[in-house]
Amino acid sequence: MTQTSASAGRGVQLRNLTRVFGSVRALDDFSLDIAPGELVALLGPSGCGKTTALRALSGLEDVDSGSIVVDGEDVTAKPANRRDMAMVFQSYSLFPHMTVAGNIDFACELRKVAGDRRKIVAENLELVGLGTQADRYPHQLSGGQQQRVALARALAVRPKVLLLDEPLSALDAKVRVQLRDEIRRIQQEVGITTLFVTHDQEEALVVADRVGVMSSGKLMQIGAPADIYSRPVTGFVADFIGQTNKLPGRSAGSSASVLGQTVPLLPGSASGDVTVLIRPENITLRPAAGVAADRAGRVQITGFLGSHAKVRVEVPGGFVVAQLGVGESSGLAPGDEVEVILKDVPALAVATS
Amino acid sequence: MAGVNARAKSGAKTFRVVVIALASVYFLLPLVSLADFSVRFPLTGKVDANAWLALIAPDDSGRLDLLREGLFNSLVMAVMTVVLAIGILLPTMMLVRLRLPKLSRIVEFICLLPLTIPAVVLVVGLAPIYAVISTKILDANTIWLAFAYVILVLPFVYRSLDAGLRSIDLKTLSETTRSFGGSWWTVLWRVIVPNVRSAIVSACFITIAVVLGEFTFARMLARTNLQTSLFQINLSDGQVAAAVSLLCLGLTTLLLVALDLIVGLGERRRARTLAPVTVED
Repeated sequence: MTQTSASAGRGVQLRNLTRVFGSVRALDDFSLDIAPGELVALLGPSGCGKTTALRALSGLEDVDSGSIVVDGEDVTAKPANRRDMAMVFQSYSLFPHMTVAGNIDFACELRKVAGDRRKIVAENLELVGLGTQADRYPHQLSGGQQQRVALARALAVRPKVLLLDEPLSALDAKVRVQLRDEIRRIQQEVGITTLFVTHDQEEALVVADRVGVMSSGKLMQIGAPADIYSRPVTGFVADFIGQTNKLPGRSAGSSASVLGQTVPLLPGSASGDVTVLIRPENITLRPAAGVAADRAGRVQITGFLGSHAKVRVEVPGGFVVAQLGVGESSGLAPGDEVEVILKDVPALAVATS
Repeated sequence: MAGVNARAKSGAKTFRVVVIALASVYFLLPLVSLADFSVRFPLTGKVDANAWLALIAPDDSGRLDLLREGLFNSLVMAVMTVVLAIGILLPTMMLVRLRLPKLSRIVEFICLLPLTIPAVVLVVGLAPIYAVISTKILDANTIWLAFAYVILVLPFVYRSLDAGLRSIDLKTLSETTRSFGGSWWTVLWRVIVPNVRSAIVSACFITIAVVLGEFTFARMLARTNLQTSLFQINLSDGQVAAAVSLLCLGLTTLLLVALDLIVGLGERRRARTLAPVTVED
């Protein structure tokens, strides 16, 4: 692929972006830096502003204040058609009156891509594994194939930044996983700076170099997927990423007392009466009768999930969900008495509301 | 059970045939009658082709000149009306859908309004406007009636384009084109127009049909178009007028078929120019 060097390595800086729709602040002093060649995923619930941020970067949405800098150039006032970016939409967005090749060729024509356009079209179709589908029309392709064409089209124009707006949301589960991995492979192969917007946390954690979690127009936390997952800085992030048990506890500096056990706390945790957020995989269960009341539990439901199992256990004042290996969970049945053991893994404590 | 299904299918087929037959009779009977009238002398029943021959014979009465003028004016006005109506309405409807969706009801109301106003009433309003146009802005040429015809065809063009625009994802297509560097003109001409081609073609058809068949405006504003010239000829020779009417109908049909073929041909040619190539590793 000759386009690697042509398109890779453009940094992006979004600075203090604000966008207000009526009474809703879709972007509220939003800032984000994307390093050249990096794939950043913006994750958050519906209405958190992630798509507005992406559209602001693309130029399809105006911002009320703030600046957008791409490759050292301030593009805030530039219209969408002069920003040298390419976008893949959720709804495929292929031109229905053009063939697969025509779609890519048209995009190259608009962007005035230099070189043999036919070769570029063919190369990019090969890249997404659709080399034999060039003369088909969009309606003759499956959803997954259409989205691959949209991706090939976006890559063919050698944009400074690739923008992916929930590109996998309309696909079925199997195709979604397949294409998700393919997007990551191609992005790394081409080395293009990419902003990926999704509401699917698994998708974000798997494809991104860094994940940004948004809420109410603000970037709550950004970091490597493992950091976001294991070291959330707010209750919202801990709650939104993965599954979390919310257990009442008493914090004393760097540790808290929960279910009669001591759990180390992450920096930034609250003190006093707190709610400690503990991941299901950081809880183990041991079949036992007659253990101390504050760590005793009774199995309510067991759920087999293939590679692992989730067990819901009734504990004093509520319940916890534990994630166990298939072997560990096989001996447990609803009604069994168990001892709930919290692993020595740092957790976040937030003030009890 | 199978017998019941077979009877139901047979009944439905019979119903379809009857409906098609009735519709065919409804549309074709006046045309056959018109053709018959053009070749049969009303008093004696004698059949001859004099009325048709009169169309190609040397004419010293001036009626063919009148017809030519009327036909020319109507064709020019049909083209002007098509260009103006679609040229104004399509970008407007796109703009309203993309940027001003709250205005869509108002635009729809305005576009459909001419349907509720009788042509005679419209002419009463338009007469003073055309008096100014004729004397102060342009001249008394018939072709300026095209401006009034744009109003007349608005409801039909709106409905047709509306159906076309509803059938595509206008927002995503235009945003995709913009994100790849396309101007708004590119969005309109290269993306939206090809995707609402059938809606535009049907809007063209109905506009041409309305303009070629329009009589009230031209007659009351004392202009010469196809219908007013046919009316004049009819006053002197009804059979020639019938022959001319049939001829015009045939020409109009040919025109519309040709238009459809030309538009379709352009699309197929573009698709053919993008044959795939093989990549060598």
